Formats: sequence, C-alpha cells, structure tokens
Amino acid sequence: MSIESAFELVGFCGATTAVAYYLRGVRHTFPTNAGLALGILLCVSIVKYSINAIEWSGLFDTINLDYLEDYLDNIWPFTWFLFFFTSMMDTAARRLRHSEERYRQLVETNPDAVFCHRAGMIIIANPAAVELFGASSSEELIGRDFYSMVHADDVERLKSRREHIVQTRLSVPLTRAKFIQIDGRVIDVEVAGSLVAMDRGPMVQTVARDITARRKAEEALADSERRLSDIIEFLPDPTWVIDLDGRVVAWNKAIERMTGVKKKAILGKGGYAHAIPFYGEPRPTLIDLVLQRDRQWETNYLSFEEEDGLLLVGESFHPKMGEEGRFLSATAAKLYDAQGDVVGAVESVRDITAAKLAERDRERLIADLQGALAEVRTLSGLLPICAKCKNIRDDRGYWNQIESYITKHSKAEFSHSICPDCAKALYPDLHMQLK
Amino acid sequence: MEQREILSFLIGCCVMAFVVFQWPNMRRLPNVKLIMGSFAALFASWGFSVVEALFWETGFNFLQHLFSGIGGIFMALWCRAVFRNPKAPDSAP
Repeated sequence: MSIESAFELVGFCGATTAVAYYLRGVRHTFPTNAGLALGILLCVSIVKYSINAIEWSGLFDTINLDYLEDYLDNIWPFTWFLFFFTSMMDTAARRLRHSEERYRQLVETNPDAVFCHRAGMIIIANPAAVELFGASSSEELIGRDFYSMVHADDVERLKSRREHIVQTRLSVPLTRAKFIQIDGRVIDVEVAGSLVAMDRGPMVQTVARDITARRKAEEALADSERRLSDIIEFLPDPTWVIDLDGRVVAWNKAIERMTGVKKKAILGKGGYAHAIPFYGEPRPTLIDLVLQRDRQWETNYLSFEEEDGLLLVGESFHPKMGEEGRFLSATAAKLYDAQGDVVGAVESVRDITAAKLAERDRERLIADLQGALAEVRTLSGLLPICAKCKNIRDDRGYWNQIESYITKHSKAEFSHSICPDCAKALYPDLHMQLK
Repeated sequence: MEQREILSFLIGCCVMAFVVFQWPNMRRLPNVKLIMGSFAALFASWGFSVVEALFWETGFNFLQHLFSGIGGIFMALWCRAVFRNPKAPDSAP
C-alpha cells in the first residue's frame, strides 16, 4: 500500500465517521435542504475517497474505475457548492423565522394596537388591535380588508401612505385618522406605519392608538384656553401672561392701548421683551419676580409686598412712559396647571398716575396748612379779667395788662391813642381848646 | 495533466469565490472553521493535482493526497461538532 493510498484511506475513514455523526443527527436536520445537500456531499466524498484509496493501493488493478472517477471529480466540488448555498439559504430562512417569532411575541405584548396587512388584507392582529376594533378575537380581524375599517374620509390618504411605505421601505410618521369598529362606531386614532420582513414576504405594519378620549380632552382644553384668552383679552386692566421660559403668551387690548405695542409684535418673545415698553430696556418685572424672586430688583419698586404668599403687589414709577412719566400699580401671580405645577405667570397693571399726583397735591396742601396753622395763634376760651382795671390773669395766676396779654397770645399789636370821651374826662381844658 | 483535474479545480475556484463573497452569511454556519478547513484542504488538493502535471510531480502528488486526507479528517470533526448534540436546533447546518 502506497502512502497516497494511506492518505486517501484516512480521508475515507474521516468521511465515514462524518456520515456516522450525520446519520445520528440527520432526523433533526434532514427536512432542511442543507441537510439533504450535506448527505449528498458526504456520500460523494466517501465514494471519491474509496475510489482513490483503491486506485492508489494497486490491489484492484483489474477494476476500471476511470469513468466513475471522472464523473466524481467534477461532481465533488459542485456538491460543496450545493451544500454551502443551501446552508446559507436555510440559515437565512431560519434567522428570519426566529426574527418573525420574536416579532410576534413583541406584537402580542404591545399595549398599542398592532396589525400587519399585505395588499390591505390583515394577516396579524394583536390583542390590543382586537380591542381597538371591538372584535371578539384576532380571527375576526384576520383576513378582513383593513381599508374597509377605515373611515371613507381617510381611506385614500392611508392608501397613499401604504404605497409610500412599500416603495421607499421607510416608515411614515404618526397621523390622525378615523377607524370604524366592528359595530360601526367611529373612533379617532393615531396611526404610524412601517414595512416588516416576514418569511412569506414583506407586510405593512400599522400601529394604532385610540385617541378619542384624548381628543375630547384636547377640545375641552382648547375651549377652556379660548375662554381664558377671551377673559384676559377684554379685561379693563392691562394684562399679560408669560410661560416658564419667559415668553409672552397673552397680551390683551388694554395693554396694547397703554404701551402702543401690538399683540402680534410681542407674542412669543422672551428675554424680558415685555419690560421694554415700561422701562425702555429688557429687565425683570413683577411677572418675572413672581416666578423667581430677586431682592435686588424688588428694592427698585416704590412699594413691594407679597400678599397671602400668592400675589406680588408693587408700585413703580416709569419716567420713560408718557411725557412726564407714569406711576403704575402692578399685581402678579403664578399660573398653575391641573396637576398643581407652575406653568407661567400673569401680571396686571393699573395706571395710578392721576391718583399719585392728586395724593402728592393733597399732601402738599396739608403741609402748607399745617405750616400756616403753626403760625396762627388764636385766643379762645374763658379769660378771667379784672372788672375794674381790665387786667387779665394768665395760666400761672399772674395778672397781665390786657395789651400785653393779647400781644402775647395773638399776632395783634397795639397802637396807643386816646378816645374823645377819655380825653374830655381826663383833659377837659385841652379838650375845650381843641373843640 | 488530465482535463477532469483542471475542471474540478476550476469548479472549486468558483465555489471558493462564492464562499469569499458570501462570507458574511457563510460565517454564520456552526463551527465554520472546521468545515472551511475541510473545504480549503480539498481545494488545495485539487490545486496540487493540477500543479503536479507541471513540475515536481512526486512532491505535489504527495501533498495532494495528504490534503485530501486532511479534508476528510476536518469533515469528520465538523460532523462530530455539529451532530454530537443533534437536539440543539441551532447547531444543525
């Protein structure tokens, strides 16, 4: 036996061992194409190794195996190709099946309605989809035309979205539509779509969520916001609202009139833009301080106080407003949502210039009067006076001449003279001469 | 040089090209190094059978049969690795 024959015999033993292991596990793999191809490869290998071993051993020279050897030499590499190709395809198919199983498991547990359809026919529907359509089971949905359960207004739009998905293999974003339940009731849904690869070809996957309740809540919220907006709009006091980012979200007619700044020009602006009409520069105002207190700015107000821990009330003078400036009284408060979270703030101002000026005039008048009063000394009350000499007794008990008493207790002064009667009585001669 | 040896080597080259181009998919085969070792050894064997007709006949003939035997051994090792636990579904080709 030659060394070549020995090598071929080793190969034969290897191939035979391989066949033994193959037969042990073939029942688990034979249904696959790769299993069959491997069987053919191993059989060809055994025959090829055995022919080579026989040929190189020289023991059976009388047997002519050339024809079979020619045939097997060509078929052997091809069986390898067959095995590799079928293995690759089977592996890919198995991976796809595993992926499909995992996908189905995910779909089944998805809280959103998920259903897959090919050419409009529903192939897969999860329990949430069954509930969404009001069906009794997934079997009631599978096989149905999906578009028969879409409201007529939305059918064409959803079909064009499906075409887009199929052609581009890209998902489409959420959109709103109306579905028709099994009992004919119309529901509002949000739907998104994408393409999923399945063992039997791609399908369009649609994820839907019932938003009927949410839509009603949104409508109610929109109504509420509109009412609030209307209330703010027609408040007699200048009022505006900012959100947490400091952007103006409401600006009523009264403040348009006061500042001359139109709503369209200020809505959506942040960075203290609402302060410019009042101060000529962007800076925190009461509405900002109610969201974030700042002692430094608070001291700039003529008066500043917090009421009930909810409101900030302040008075300020704005020299750049009007010709001679304006006094404003402002009230600001936080705004809360239904959960009690702060969502913004509102400020209302009132022009108190006239009141302030009137107050200033009044105070000035009072001061003047008080000054005048301090200068006026008046006599009043019961004065004890001597019936004979007309002296007056003061508070300390001393008797004062009437002239000195009056001079002391009033602004009156005396210029002494003599009346005709007294002159006649005291100076009769002089009186007669003058007469 | 025999025509059948050239033809089998050419077919082997095509299969090798297929394996190379499909390597991202082929590498998912279980115990891929063993089965590829078997195929590579046989491919070398086919190559040596062609080359031996050109020069150093004795040496290349020896190598041809050596690699042919190695291919058989790798084939047995791969089948053992794959079918030793046949109930594991992912171990099958």
